[in-house]
Amino acid sequence: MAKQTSLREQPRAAEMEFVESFRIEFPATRQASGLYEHSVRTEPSRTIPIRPQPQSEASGAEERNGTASATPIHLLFNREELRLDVDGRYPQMVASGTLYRRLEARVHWIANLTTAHGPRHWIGNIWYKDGDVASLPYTEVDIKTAPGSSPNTQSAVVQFSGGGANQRTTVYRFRSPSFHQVDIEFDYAEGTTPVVNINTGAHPNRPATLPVETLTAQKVFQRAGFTVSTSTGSGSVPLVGAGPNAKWSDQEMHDAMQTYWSHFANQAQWAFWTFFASLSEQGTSLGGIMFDDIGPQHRQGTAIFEDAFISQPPAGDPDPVDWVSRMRFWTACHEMGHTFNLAHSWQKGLTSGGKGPWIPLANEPEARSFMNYPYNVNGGQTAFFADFEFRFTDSELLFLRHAPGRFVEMGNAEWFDHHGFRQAEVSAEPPLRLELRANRDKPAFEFLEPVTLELKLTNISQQPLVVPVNILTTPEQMTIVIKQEGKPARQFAPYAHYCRQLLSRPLLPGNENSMYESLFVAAGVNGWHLAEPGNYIVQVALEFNGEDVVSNPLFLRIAPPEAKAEEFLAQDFFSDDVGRLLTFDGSRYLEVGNNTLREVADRLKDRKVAVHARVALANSLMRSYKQLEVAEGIRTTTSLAHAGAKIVQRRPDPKVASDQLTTALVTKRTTAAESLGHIDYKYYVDRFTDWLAEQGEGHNAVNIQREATATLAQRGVIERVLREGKERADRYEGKARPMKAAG
Amino acid sequence: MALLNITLEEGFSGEAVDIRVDGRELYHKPSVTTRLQTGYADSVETEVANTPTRIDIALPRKGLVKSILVDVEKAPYLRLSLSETGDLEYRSQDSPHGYM
Repeated sequence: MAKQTSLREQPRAAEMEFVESFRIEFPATRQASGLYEHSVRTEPSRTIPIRPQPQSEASGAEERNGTASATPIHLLFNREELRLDVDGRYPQMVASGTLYRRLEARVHWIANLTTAHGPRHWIGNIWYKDGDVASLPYTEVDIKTAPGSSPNTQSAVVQFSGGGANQRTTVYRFRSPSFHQVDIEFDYAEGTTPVVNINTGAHPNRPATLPVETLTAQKVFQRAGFTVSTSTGSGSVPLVGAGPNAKWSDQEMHDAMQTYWSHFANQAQWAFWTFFASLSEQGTSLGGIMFDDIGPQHRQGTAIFEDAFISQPPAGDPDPVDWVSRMRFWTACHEMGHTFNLAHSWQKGLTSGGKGPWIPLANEPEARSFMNYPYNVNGGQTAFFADFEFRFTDSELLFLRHAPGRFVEMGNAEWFDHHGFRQAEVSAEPPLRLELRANRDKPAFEFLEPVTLELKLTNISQQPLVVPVNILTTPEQMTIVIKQEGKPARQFAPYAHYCRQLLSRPLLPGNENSMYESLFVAAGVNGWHLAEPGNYIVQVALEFNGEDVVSNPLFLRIAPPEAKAEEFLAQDFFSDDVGRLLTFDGSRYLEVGNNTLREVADRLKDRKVAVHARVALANSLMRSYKQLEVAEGIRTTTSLAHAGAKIVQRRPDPKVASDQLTTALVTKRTTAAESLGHIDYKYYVDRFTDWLAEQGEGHNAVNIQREATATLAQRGVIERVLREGKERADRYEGKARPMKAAG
Repeated sequence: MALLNITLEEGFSGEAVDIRVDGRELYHKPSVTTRLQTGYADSVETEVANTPTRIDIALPRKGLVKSILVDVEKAPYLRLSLSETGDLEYRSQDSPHGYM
């Protein structure tokens, strides 16, 4: 049985229909409601001082932040959305916005509006914030729109004020008359005829004012604020999917969704699958169900059972055929509403199992909504349909149009859990490719082995690009997410942020010109992220010109401990002191951590962690070390000088340093290159050999440098690194040779 | 003999539920949970000889017990919900209830 061809609207056509669906005022004016967007090309994040700005019309600069005086606020956002809801179909007199600042920081706000002086001018209080609320202290908005000569030039100026912060003005460009986009795919079980449109005037029991029209399910959601596209699906789904009883269980429908939905993916997306079938396993008492509460992504699939009670008209109904059509259509829209996370009308305020409404809501048991049961209201279904206008209630429209997108979007889950990079602003044609890898055959790490990874950034465009010199080492430009299997994802926060001069460099296209950097992600200010045995995913996003360059997800494994000694030392090793010692290449101050590292180097000498311990221990012994000494017993004082504090020079211990580094980098050089990573291994070897050359051990330096270069060559390291190693060895040799001749 | 249908609807979240009909154990489940997307948790049917029929519902972990007399010939469909205030609420009707 062929599916109705009218379902197969193209997105553009759907959008045009959406525009046309609005009631036209006379004289005709362009609708102000819709989605507006403001985007900026960002420099690396910084704190911007702002000063108040005078009111202005919707034109001119994209963003007007002052530069003098005033409270500094961290508010450079990559992209901002404004949803203005003041006219058109079912206006809510609400504005809402989302401000995105890279992946981890975003803030969402909602304000109720009233008309202000002058045309196309609204003011209101912000009553809802979600996300990084500290970055948006404002409490009021003042919004003006300018129609422009075409929709593309229509704009909105929003002045944010209040909350003790200085005023901020942002200009947004009109993007769409709808607030979100959604894609629907309709499939149906063999032998079923889906009902996705209705003649609203067919049944005599209806509101007298109800426009008589052919109403489609898509149009219902267009009027709720969406641009709706309809995917061409698989059409008929073989009944064999329902098993021998031909009735569908949730699991069978979930399987069918995975098989037949052309957009199925294990991720959140503004898309869902609508399935029409005869009956569920529950029998005729189940008219439809949003069956997808299976697996990590919910609300992606819904079903309508056309032979359930919804096909049984009440006795004595004046038009039973059209009653059934309307009930089937109503049920389809009802179940589709569940995929948008809309609860039943009588459950609006319900909290169950820790899950509840997004804002405090009252139940609406008498609502004439797609989300109520018609036969539950006073007077039953007759009373319901006498007043039903084929719409959602205002509280439901507020949710659909203005709630944070992750509450509504199908398949979404808690922020950063399961899909940490879902919100990435990824370019369709990214100019850069970011690779994350471990310098080993399989990304498997020993227990206690500090995880060091490698980043590779390649220009994959056809043109040279100008990139910050420190693009791979600036935490402000990078988001690193670490997720252990079965646990929520965590964002890596490094111990240190550096204030660096903003220098740029050209990055030429091609693999041979790639930039590389090591990435120590084992421990940071939030503790040890990669410590427990288990499977992990690590992924990095890099901000470049206002877009996110997202790496491959790297799956890695940390092995369980092999010996009791590892388990015993773990509680001391996974400490903040040791994390800092490994990050900063040693310290003479953190003596408790140093003692742990000495024990690790001594008792676990054959394990990879010993290499890291020896390098950290040796580095602080190579040179004299300045340390602030404060007399014991001093707790509070006006100044360190008053307390008798002084900076003392601690002597180096070249013998111990050399022994430790020789054991770590020379004796076990293959292990060291693998565990430290090629970049850090070369860095430590270079520093060691430079130091040896300074100590007059040029020959030793030459040998170590050449052996290290050979080791890196065996591991496939790129030629320019090997050349540098060879040249460094040659330099040592050049300095050493005259001494030899003199001898 | 008349058919009695008892449906557990809203408000159940892992509760143990016992139902007796005219003193006879009809239903015992250690954990009943409402599916919020339908407002339906579970149902059971039986044939009864007497009307009105005495139905005893117990939620032992909540210490809730309720007895209801149902005229099965007039309203054989009994719907039970656990309210947000923790009370057992019921409604009986002459036709089956649908869920969506």
